[in-house]
This record gives sequence, C-alpha cells and structure tokens, in this order.
Amino acid sequence: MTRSRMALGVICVAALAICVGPLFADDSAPPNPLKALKKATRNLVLEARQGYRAGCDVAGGLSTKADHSLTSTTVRETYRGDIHGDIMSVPDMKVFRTDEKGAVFDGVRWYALQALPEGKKLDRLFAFPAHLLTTALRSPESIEWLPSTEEADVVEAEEGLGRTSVVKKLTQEQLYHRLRVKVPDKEALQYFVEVQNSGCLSGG
Amino acid sequence: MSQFLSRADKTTTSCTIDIDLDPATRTPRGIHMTVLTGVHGATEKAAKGKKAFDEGVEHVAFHFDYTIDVGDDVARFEIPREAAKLMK
Repeated sequence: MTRSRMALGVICVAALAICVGPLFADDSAPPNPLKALKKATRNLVLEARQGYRAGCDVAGGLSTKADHSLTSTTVRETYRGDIHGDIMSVPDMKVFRTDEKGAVFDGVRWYALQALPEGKKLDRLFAFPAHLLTTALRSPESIEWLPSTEEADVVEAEEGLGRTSVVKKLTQEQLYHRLRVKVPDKEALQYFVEVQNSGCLSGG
Repeated sequence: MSQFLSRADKTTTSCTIDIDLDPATRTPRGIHMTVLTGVHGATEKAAKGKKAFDEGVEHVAFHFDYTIDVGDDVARFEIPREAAKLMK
C-alpha cells in the first residue's frame, strides 16, 4: 500500500513537471540566428509580392581605422529603387532591371543597363536586398546577434510604501533584432570584384 | 583612384553583412554591408588576415547602407516594350 502510494506520488510529480515545466523554461535564451535569417529572407521575398522601397548609400575609400570608417573617401553614390516581384525600378535614372538584366533610358532610346557607365555602376553597386540575404544564407562563415539598439519600455511600478522603481524591459524580439553575418573570404573577394567592375574606382 | 586598384591586395578580403530586423514583423528594415580589402605594402607590414584591417593599418573599405521600407505597397510597373525586350 505504502509502495503503491509512493509510486503514485512519483508519477504525479513527474506529470506535473512535464505540464508546468515549460512555463518556467528559460525564455531569455537567444533565438537561433540562422533560423532568424531564413525567416527574415522569406519575409522580404514575400514583401516583394506587394512591393517595397529600398535605398542604398555607398561610400568607399581608404581607412586606417579599426571600425573601418573612411579616412579618405573616393566613391559616394546614392540610389533609390522600388521593387515589385523580381523587378526593380529606379525612377531617378529611368531604369528597369531584374537580378540579371536591365534597361536604361538615356532620354532618346533604351539601352541594355550594362551598356552605359552609369547603368553598369548601378548594376554592380545596388544589389536587390533579398539577393544579399540569400547570398548571406548560402554559406555563412558565422552568424551572431549584435546588441540591441531598441529603446527599452519604461514601466513604473510601486513597491512597498510609496516607493517607486523603474523597470526597463525589452521583449525577446526587441533584444534580438540585429544579426551579423560573416561572409566567406571567397565571396568577400567576389563583392570587391563587383565594386571594381562597376568602374567606380577608375572613374569610368 | 586607379592607384587604389593597383595597390589592392585581393588575397586579403573580408565582408560582413549586418541586418536590422523590425522587432514586430521580423522583416529586414536595414542592411549594412562592409567589404574590406588589404593594401599592398600595408598588408605585408601587418600580418595577413584580420590584422590587415587593424587600427593604423591602411586598407580599402566599402560601406553599403541599405534602407528597406515595406510600409507602402508598390504598384506593378508599366515597362515600355523596348525596355522589356532588353530585360529578357
């Protein structure tokens, strides 16, 4: 009788632990950054169905700083584009393009995007944002979370007799929203070659 | 700028992509890509690898700062026939 009661007790405690355990699980553990990147990429691809706007500011030159800020700037370009599906329109330059081909209007006729220096530069420097993410996903050397830049929600709570304490709270989503992907050196070289082939370094 | 090209040490490159997600939707709202390349001379003095991009060591740096705005829908484009032909 005593044994069977003990066994029943153990079963009850085990069942309780299984049911209630998840309520006390550590929810401060960071989410998987690779999964977050996959989801972000998928979300952006889905957004393209309705269309979205993108801008790209490019700055290049020499640096002697550990944070890589430029000590001598030699290239500065700004692009703005609208993306719908797999097509980007750059109204300022009268450009329509896909990830592979494009057309630019010079005021008289349409040319292949690569045929005009400004079109070539745009094509090499202004990537489709979703393409950047899919490339990052292909073979990341590392992915990590960066510290959040979100402002904390400030909650005032009264404790005891008239004492007020300020509780700063960031949700899991606010804590983990900045990802850093380190791209393999081979792809890093490919990006540099793209810059080189844009003609922006040789003034053409 | 062409002196830049001749001095670039393409055996030493690095690229990081920082992605800023909207906390509510988990959709990217910004992407910052940094592409680094060593510089001949500077790279030989410093050891290859990450030291080529240390404080005080000259290197080529390119920053691509993307902003993404999914707030407004973008209508389907009306692409002129001549342009569409060039995109096929």
